[in-house]
Amino acid sequence: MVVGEKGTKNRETSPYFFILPTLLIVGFFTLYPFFYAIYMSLTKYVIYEPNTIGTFVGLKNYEEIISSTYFNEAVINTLVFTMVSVIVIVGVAFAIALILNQGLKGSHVVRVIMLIPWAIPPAAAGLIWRFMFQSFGWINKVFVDLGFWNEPFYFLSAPRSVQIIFAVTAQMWQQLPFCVLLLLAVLQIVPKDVIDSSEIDGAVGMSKLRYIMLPYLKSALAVVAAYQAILALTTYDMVYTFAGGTYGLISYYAFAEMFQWGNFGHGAALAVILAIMTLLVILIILRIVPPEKLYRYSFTGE
Amino acid sequence: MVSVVNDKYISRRKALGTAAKVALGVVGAAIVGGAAYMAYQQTAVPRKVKLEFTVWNYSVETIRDNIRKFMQQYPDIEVTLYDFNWPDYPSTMVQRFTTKTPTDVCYNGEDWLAQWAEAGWVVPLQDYWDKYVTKKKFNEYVNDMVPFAKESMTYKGKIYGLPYYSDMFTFMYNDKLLKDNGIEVPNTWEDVLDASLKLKEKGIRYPYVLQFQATNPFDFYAVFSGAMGRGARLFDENLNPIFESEDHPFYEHLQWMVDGLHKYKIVNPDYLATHETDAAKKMGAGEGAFTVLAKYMLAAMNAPGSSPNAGNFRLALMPGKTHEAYGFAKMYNMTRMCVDRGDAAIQAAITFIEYFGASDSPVLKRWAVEKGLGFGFLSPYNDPDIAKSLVEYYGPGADKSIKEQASIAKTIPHPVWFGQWIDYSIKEAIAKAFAKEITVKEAVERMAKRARELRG
Repeated sequence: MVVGEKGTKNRETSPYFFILPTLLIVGFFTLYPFFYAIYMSLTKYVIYEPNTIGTFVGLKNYEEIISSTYFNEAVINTLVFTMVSVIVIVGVAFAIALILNQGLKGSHVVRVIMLIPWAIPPAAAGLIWRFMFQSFGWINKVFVDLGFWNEPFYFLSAPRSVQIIFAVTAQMWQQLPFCVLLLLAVLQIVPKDVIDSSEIDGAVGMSKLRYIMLPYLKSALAVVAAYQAILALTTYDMVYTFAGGTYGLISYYAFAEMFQWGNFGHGAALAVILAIMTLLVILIILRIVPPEKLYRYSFTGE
Repeated sequence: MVSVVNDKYISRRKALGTAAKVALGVVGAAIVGGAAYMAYQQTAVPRKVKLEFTVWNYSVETIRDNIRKFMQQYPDIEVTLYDFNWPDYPSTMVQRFTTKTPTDVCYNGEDWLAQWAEAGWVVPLQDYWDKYVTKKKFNEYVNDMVPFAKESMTYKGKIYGLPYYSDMFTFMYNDKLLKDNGIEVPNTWEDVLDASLKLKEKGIRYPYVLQFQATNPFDFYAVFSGAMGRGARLFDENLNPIFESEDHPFYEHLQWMVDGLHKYKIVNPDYLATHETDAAKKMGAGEGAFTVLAKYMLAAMNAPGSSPNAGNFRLALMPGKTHEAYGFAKMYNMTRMCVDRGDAAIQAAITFIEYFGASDSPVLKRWAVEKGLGFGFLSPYNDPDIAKSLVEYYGPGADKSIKEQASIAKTIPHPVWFGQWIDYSIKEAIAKAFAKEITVKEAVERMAKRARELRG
């Protein structure tokens, strides 16, 4: 590299040239589809009306889907699924992380085995749990054979309000490993001398957890909750293979509008609404944990 | 940048210049070599017309074997097969067409024909057939078609394909189970209820087997065909929904199903997890005595060795006042992409469709004899091998009972929005009514409202 006044200027701008190809590729595969979806949501794009494709209609697509017969329920299903997923997954992951942090015998083996569900694609996870909840699935087999109930329970024919529990179970099984490992990593950097001091001072059980450990974990819990919320809001494949569209989330209807019902304008509008909801979740999380704290946590875990 | 090689200084400019020259040389050689290879391909190798053929994944190995035989007979046509999961087939094809992935011949169904035709993705076969070399004129095939098959393949007065497979959703029962318990073959849905209650007393927990996964149109037709037996129609000639009143046959049939599930408990409660193959297994295992499925499932249930009850299943006229059943056709379509490729591609596609879909096609006969699949023409009923297979697959007298049901089976109008209306209806109305989340009245009102929204 040539050094000097000219070289100094080169040193300031040349890094951008090096990352430009990557930026272009990432931009093409993320920003372009995003802005194209917004454009599509403002136009008429119905495959069986090819002469009208691309006609600007403003917010008409949004009006039509919001006033449609499925929208309110899709929003409720999505929000309920998200809230229940976040609460259950974060809660269970935290509990498991606390147990594994005790350093009990065999916890290393458990950590490895626990990673297996994470390696399974979400669509496959949905199918696996669908089979397990069938009337002839192993869940019924175990409970009937052990005498807990006399005949199979038809989980998959249960009302929507009950089916959500089973859908969240499948989601939890798939997402738990990542959350547990993340929280476990943070638990292990909680200073041991602080814990020892608190125990000397009489802190035990829940008080130790609440006043000593939780402050260290707040950021990590917020990150895990945000991640799970975003996943649950945008999940499609797992819930579709599990419930076949009978438990309709916004993501399912975005797909259905486009590829089953041929209305790409409506599907794009639903996708944009989902993106806005996801953005709101992120903003809420950032209010709870300010960006500078998240930044510090990302690099130091504190 | 300055580097030292063997005490010689090489400048950055020289290094970059050399690299550029090498790169240009490589690219130039590739272009020349590629052009030479393509020229060789054009002259030395005989040119084949390539066809891209898409199907859903029923008996894919049989399809591959049929294609192999076709290519042996027509060595100047090369066919590449793509198969997709049945429930995902329409959405996969929408993606395929919108991204203009090469597709020349495809399976299509009466549920999606209107959309694909309006979108310009498939073309009316009748507009091209007689302009090219064929064994028979198009009208010769049309005049031989079963009425509901012809209607299923027609959109805005034009016929879009030849039938791949045509069938009905029929009422099936376990003949031995009924005879052993002194029960007559039901003539009405009230008879089905009475028979089911008797069988329930004898230990058959859920005598009526319902498939309703709520994922594809077959789930809708498995219910709707039963309503057609009562004389149900869904829309008038202006596509206004007419099924909302409580005395409408469709309403009555939905209520019958809901009562069967919750009041009389004669219908299997795991219907949402029951695919048609699961329904066949339940029937085969003696867990059910009655069901409504696509007729080819009767062949599967009677297949020797398939279950303890194989050979005991029969087809009866759909219970109800009119005994009508829902008839449909799945078809071979030629795509606009194929037409745009020119005469050679069109001729190849028509030759392919005639080989696979003609009334005297070896493929049609193979489907009928080996798999018991229905067909959309009348003349194959006269084929002795096919007539024999009908009896083997469907039981004694089946050739007559099938013909009788086929003669009164009907299809229904499939406007461009029908596919999405069915999808909405099965998920948001019928499934919820079956789960008693809403009443049947609310379900039909939702369906009617959605139909009016979509119709415009």
